[in-house]
Amino acid sequence: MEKYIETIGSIIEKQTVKNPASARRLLMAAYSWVRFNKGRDKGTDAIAARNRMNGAVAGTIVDSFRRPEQAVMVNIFMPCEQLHAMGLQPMFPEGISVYLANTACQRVFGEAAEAADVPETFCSYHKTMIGAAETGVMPKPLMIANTTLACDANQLSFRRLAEFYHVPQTVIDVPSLVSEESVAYVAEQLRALTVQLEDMSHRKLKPEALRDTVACSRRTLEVYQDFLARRGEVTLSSTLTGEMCSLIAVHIMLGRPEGEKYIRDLAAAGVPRDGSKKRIFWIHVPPNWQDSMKNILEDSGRCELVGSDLGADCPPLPDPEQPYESMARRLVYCANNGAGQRRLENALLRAKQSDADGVIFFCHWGCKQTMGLAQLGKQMFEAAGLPTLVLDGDGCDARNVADGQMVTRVNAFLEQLEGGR
Amino acid sequence: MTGYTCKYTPIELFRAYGGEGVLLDEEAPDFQLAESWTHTNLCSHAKALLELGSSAEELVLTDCCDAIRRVHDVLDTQKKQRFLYLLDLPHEESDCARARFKSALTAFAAEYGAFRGTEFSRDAFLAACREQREPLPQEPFLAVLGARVSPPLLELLQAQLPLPVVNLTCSGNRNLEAPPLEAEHWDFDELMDWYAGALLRMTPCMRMNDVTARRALTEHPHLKGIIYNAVKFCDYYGFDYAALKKQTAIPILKIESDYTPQPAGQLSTRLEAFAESLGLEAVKGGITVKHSENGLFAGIDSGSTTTNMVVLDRDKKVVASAIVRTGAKAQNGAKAALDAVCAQLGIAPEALDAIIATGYGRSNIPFATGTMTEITCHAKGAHFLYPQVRTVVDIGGQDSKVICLDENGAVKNFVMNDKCAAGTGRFLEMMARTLELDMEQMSRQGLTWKKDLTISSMCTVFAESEVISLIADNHTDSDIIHGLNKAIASKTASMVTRAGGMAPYMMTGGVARNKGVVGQLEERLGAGLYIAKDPDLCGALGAALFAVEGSEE
Repeated sequence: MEKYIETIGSIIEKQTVKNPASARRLLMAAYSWVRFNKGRDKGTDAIAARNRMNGAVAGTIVDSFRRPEQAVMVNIFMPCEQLHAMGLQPMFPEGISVYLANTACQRVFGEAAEAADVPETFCSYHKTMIGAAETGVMPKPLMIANTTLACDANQLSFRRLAEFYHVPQTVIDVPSLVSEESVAYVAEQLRALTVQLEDMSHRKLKPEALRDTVACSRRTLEVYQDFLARRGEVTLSSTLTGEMCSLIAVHIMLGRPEGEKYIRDLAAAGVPRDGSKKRIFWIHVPPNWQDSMKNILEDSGRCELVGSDLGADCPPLPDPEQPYESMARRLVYCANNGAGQRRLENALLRAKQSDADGVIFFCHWGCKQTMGLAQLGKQMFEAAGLPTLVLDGDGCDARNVADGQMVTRVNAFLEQLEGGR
Repeated sequence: MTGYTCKYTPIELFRAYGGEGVLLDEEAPDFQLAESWTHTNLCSHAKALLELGSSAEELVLTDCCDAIRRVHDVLDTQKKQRFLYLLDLPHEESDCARARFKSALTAFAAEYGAFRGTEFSRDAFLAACREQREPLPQEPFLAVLGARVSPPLLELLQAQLPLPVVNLTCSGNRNLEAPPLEAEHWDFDELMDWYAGALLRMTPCMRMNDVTARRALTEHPHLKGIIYNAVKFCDYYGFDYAALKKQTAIPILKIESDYTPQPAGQLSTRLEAFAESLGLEAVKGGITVKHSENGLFAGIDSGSTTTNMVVLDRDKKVVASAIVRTGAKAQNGAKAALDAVCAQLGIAPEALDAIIATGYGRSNIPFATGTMTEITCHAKGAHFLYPQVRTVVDIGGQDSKVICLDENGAVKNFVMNDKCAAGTGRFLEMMARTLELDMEQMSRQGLTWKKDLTISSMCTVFAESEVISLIADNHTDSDIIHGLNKAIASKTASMVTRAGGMAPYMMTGGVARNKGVVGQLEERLGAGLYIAKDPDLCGALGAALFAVEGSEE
């Protein structure tokens, strides 16, 4: 991490303790700079597309902090088309945790949460966001809307945040049974959410605006499906942050023009394959704060990150005429819903489509959903001819990371793949 | 027998089809198989279930949490059960949720009935639903709340605590309402409609959306104290504990268990100290005092690194003290300490009127005339030395604790570190070994740092490899030690916050001699730490004070 970022992070950490409002202003200034600086990249490659998307996400954080009374706090899997169509900002604290880690100031929030009895074994993304809220840095939103998908952490964090902020919370209960009956159950809850959003924000959701937003989602996913199917034919200058951008583009930012543009730019950025690099498919979210992993996976010239399962969860195409059922179907048919086998089969499909040479199964600290599947996943991928490394680490909290050990493991895995060339 | 693990499992339906449910809640000796199938950091109950339950022939699970979903995935792959089912459980109690759950129960009933080859018996079903649950005691009692508790741990709690202990954990508070009389005439569809609602109306567990009804668990007029159980790597109940702590005035002791046989040592200390703080005498303990003319009273603190002893006269004046290495056996260290103080006084051991033992080894000191926990003894000693103190931070060899006192020196609350060595004297010793320094050098060199290094990992093992990396990067010992001191201070300050500690602060234990740690901790707390001349002796002093007061009663 660059020195100036560490300096800013250190100042923000100190201010978080002394004057949280000042820490928030510093974060907003930093992310406004990211919005401006990254957003103006005119390049045509994947790095430029990522930079623009990174700028757009940073801008969303800034907007949600600047006008929190017009922001709805959501989890990463929450469909946000209703918010986009109503002009409300999503405030997505799991993403904010990643930005805090990349601003070298995550530690103070993790520690604050643990001091307030959040278990040390809890998911670090969620622990960080609780700390960010309870230190007073993350502002009080209009309300909270989250899904039970894809993990237990949602149940705990968002309920605690709703109690902390004294704001209403809507939980979309997603049955694990993948069926049209479940879709109808979820669609009803999403309709009820619209009523609540209208009451809370004093804005009306115009059906045509929702239709247009879902149409944007459909266009985005059409391009994305095609991109994923052809991913094995091309090389991209992809990065750990790029995978994060894809995840956000097809979840929180789905239905927004920035998300659609990013996916289109990404799809157009591929160049003929570079046969010299090993192609790595990633399970869960890459730790884009971690210099050592960036050095190997982005800069070493030895490998290319060709996708990640959470980013490559491409749901059924939505129907703008049935927006609620479409959003509900996205949740119910999500690869992360139901049996773990579904998630693994989707990951294997995407790894095959991207012509991966190997899989890194990343056990993010506290993610029981993912950790519990690690050995089943390894067996399945290796049976399909994909060598797999189970790698323990943390997507945003350095305190849970044995950096040197991770470097050894990933390098040894690359040597293993290169040996098999 | 059909094994199950979640209280929302429809065990009354098992009976309706001639089956019988058995709660799978046992401990496992280790998790060798479970971790090879999943991961080390999965919920301990889930791992025990995989170890022991994977041989069950019939198993019904609910999708109650991430860990159990993964257990089902593993078992589904292994195909060892004759009957394995995962029931889809809603997160709420709304009409829509009930209808969906009814549909799930109906589907389960069809599959379970087909497996058993039996028809649904309404009489057996209603009889099971009407089965009487054991009522709560109508006399003072303690409750175990939080995550499920294994039978051996529950027995240990019941054996060591002086009041009846009731299991109200997630698997212990299954309070299904009785069906109405007209249910005798309902058809299957109507019964399932009622049953779905009745299951969802039980005291909610933490995975449900609305958990407000959980507060009823702590409102019983005879409830005197709560032992709050957190299962390692189950996150649900840490959140419940945090909320409960703010909402109830009933004393709470938080313990952590991991579905393996518990070492009794640290848990006993906590239970005894909790009983002491409730004004109850633990099952063990009691003080015997000889009423002789000598007027000499001793306290002995048998810790993991040192054994400390203090002798007081009747006026509570220190007349002798000793600090010796504990060594491999607690009784050997205790004997050496006893010999040392007797030599100082020129007396035989029999001349001491009472000897109160405290610390980890307190139960293994044959010459002790009574025992008290180190929590209570540290509080006693601290209040004696510094009556204004409200929070004692004690960092010893293998544990660290924060004790909050009231104005009379009575224990209001305390927290201890878990099994992890992070933040203890042992952590510093290991790091000193890595740096090839002694403890005195560690104490001094941490003060002369130039670069503000941060040790990210609090895990002792991770931190050691981080220190090795820093050494390889040519950072100075002083800077590295400063980073380590900050890490300990951070962990300790977090414990102070969790305990609700407030100034004035005092620090006891061997680590109080480490100026670097003390400085960093003072910075974190934003207040000074009072440190007595011999901070290691505080626990022994407290024990000796109890011995003196025992003679006055």
